[in-house]
Amino acid sequence: MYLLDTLVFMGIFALLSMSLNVEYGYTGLGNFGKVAFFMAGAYAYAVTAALGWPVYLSLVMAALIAGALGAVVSLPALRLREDYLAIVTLSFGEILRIFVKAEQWLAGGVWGKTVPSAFAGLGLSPKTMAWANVLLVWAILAGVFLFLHLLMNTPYGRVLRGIREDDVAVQVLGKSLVSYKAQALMVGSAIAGVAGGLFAQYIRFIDPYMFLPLVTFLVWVMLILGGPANHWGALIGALIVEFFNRGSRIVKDYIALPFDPHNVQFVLFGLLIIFLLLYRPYGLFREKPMRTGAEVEVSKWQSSP
Amino acid sequence: MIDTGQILVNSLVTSSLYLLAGTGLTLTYGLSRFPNFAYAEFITIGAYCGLFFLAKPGGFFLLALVLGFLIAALVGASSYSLVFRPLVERKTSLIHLMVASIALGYVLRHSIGEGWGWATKSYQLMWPVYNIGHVRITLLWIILIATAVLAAVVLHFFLTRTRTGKAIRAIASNPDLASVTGINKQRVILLTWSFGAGLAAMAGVFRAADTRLSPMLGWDILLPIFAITMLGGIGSFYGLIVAALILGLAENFGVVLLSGIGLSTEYRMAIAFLILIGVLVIRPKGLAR
Amino acid sequence: MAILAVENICKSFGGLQVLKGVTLEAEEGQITGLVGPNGSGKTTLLSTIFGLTKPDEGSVKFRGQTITGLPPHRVYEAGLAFSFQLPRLITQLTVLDNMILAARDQVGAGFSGALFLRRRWRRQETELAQKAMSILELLGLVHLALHPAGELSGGQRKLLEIGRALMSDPVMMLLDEPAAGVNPVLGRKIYQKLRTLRDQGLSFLIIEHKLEILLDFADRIYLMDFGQIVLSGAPKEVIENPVFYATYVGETKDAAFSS
Repeated sequence: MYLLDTLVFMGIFALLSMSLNVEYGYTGLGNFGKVAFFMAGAYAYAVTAALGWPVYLSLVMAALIAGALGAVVSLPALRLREDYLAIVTLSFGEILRIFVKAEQWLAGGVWGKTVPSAFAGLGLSPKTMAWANVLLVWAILAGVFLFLHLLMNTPYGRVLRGIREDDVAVQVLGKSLVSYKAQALMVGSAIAGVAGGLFAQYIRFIDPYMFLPLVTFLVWVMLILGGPANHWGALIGALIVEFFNRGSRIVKDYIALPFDPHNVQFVLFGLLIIFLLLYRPYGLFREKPMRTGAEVEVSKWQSSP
Repeated sequence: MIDTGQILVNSLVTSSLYLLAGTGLTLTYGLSRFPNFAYAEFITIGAYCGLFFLAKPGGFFLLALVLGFLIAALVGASSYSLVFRPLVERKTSLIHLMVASIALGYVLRHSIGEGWGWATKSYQLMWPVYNIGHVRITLLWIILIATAVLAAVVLHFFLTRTRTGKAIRAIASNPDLASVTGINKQRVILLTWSFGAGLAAMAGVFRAADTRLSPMLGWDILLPIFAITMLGGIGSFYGLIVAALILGLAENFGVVLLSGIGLSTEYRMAIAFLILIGVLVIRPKGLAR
Repeated sequence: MAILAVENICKSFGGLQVLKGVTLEAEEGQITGLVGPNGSGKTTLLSTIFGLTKPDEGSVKFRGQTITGLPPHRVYEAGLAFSFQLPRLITQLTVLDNMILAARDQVGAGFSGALFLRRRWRRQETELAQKAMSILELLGLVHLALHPAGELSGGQRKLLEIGRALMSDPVMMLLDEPAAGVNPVLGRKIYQKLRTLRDQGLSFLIIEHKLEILLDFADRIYLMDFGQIVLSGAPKEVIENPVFYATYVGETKDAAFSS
């Protein structure tokens, strides 16, 4: 059961890591409030599922709400330097949590909200149910992986990568920065929203204290370790970090140590990030050249001197 | 019932705290051209230094304040020279500098969490209360306001009368100015990082003495501090003073208004957020420029 | 009628007035040269025309349409292209990708186009690759087409920067010292190509320091000094005017030519 539970969490975090990859890895946008969009998705799912909406509609709603928030919140900062976006997204993470805490009518405020499971009423044993969750999460993850892989190997993906490197140059080449950046944040936030919906569905109870800035930081560790602008990197980074994250909780529960493994883990993650940024900023996996069909033309010109 | 006098005093207290906490952020942001999110932890370090020294025999508040300043200054200086300076020298991108500062924040915060635990603690100090008419003011508040005013005056003379101070102002307020002749830029930056961290730590001691403390103490006031940094204009100390006064007033009057219209006082933070967004939309360069 | 009409453009940074009412016109199908000492405001003028900096005063008209203060991507849509003096390449992308990025009217450059018109943009990619390769062949960069742009040498970067502007099929090009940093032979080759394009109807506004190149290739020259146009006319007239030498303080005619 521990294994299945870990697999579900790995899948959910891999979605978050891939969503940050769209924003930061490909477009070069620093979203430091990832948790807000994760949270928005979780609450959108919780509220709509409680109204009796079917699973897929609730997930779509989670994506829509988080995606819309992603674009709207970032809009004031998109014309400005990247540090403004960082500050705005980070602040929004705090504000959304305060909002949900304060508004009891919406989703229980600080008391949290129970969420109906997608597999309730099917008479499944706990083990089968866990498997069903693993399948659901990983099927969606596979779909998102394929979608992003295709999207980033299009002329659209090329513009995003261009914006990451030099947004002035891309503007001069006729691409509207603000709309591309807003779209990237919308796509990234929508995926984070889906991850939030899946999270709410799986753990069946959410409260504001589950959505601390810690989540955002974990996602950054995953992506920077795995390798920005590489989908495999985002996935494997998530698996590694979540393995240790779950592991440290289990260790904390079962083994008496003179220190708290949770604290030590975050100190180490922090040091790891600083070390990576200094010596290996591209992570474990490097960015792959684009494949749009244009590259195959080159050989025709190069072979005939 | 709205007691304007009391709200004004409360505002002044809030403003003083934010001013102490934000000075280093705005100056280092202006000098090094990136926001240091680990700044929150400099505040927290001050609070826990206070806890540590007050528990020692012979420890008293002003001593805790001074020692907190010194230790945080040391942490600020070493975090610049061990983490950010090497990154800057490698021509690290702005985003990476910000990520590194967040990572450093987690290193510091969870080290504090490991040392003192995550539970909320208190200094257990009692402060004499004075009543001037309707207005209630504690000795702690008086010390806080006096410290902030003193820091502002000292900084004013430092920034206008000394060569180093003038260099800080020149570099911090003018992004295009790569170097000022005859000034060791690295030394100026290092000095600002340590002095700023020290002031932030004093803010942490005051905050902890006035309320309580946890490893999240600094993070919890990071948003208002960024709001005043942006409102005042990045790198502008005088802008920051005005911005701190504005936010102090806005928060304290806002809280009264909020409860008046039946909204939760939790939304105190939202006032800072609204100001932050407003600045970005209307005047991204802040008041100063 | 002039294809590009700049009127009374003023711009200051802080207290420093960089452009003090610049007025100039570029004719259709001509190469218009812009000369002047360093710091005279040439580059600022070009980036103001392209919307990279907002003017404090004045207007810019392109083919009769006012483009003053439009964002750069709108100026590009109006039919202009820009090439920076210091190349701004997308270093992680290949040379080929840098070229195709500049192309106009890409079906797959929008989000929905990329997703739903896959077949169409795949076909367009092939066409654009052909076009990019033919420009790269001209610039001698074919063998580097699949290398990341960050691996190029300084001169090669400059060539790619110009190639990218060519790739966008503009009506008019604004070039900031296209031959700087490449060897003189190649520099002349670039200008010969630009002249061919001019003969096909393309218009140019070019910042250039090398007088012999201006003499050979420019149709008209504007001389800028301290943020103002001080002289204009056919290259020969301008270069023989004593005012021209007065602006290059301490430089004789010979020194100006050899630099």
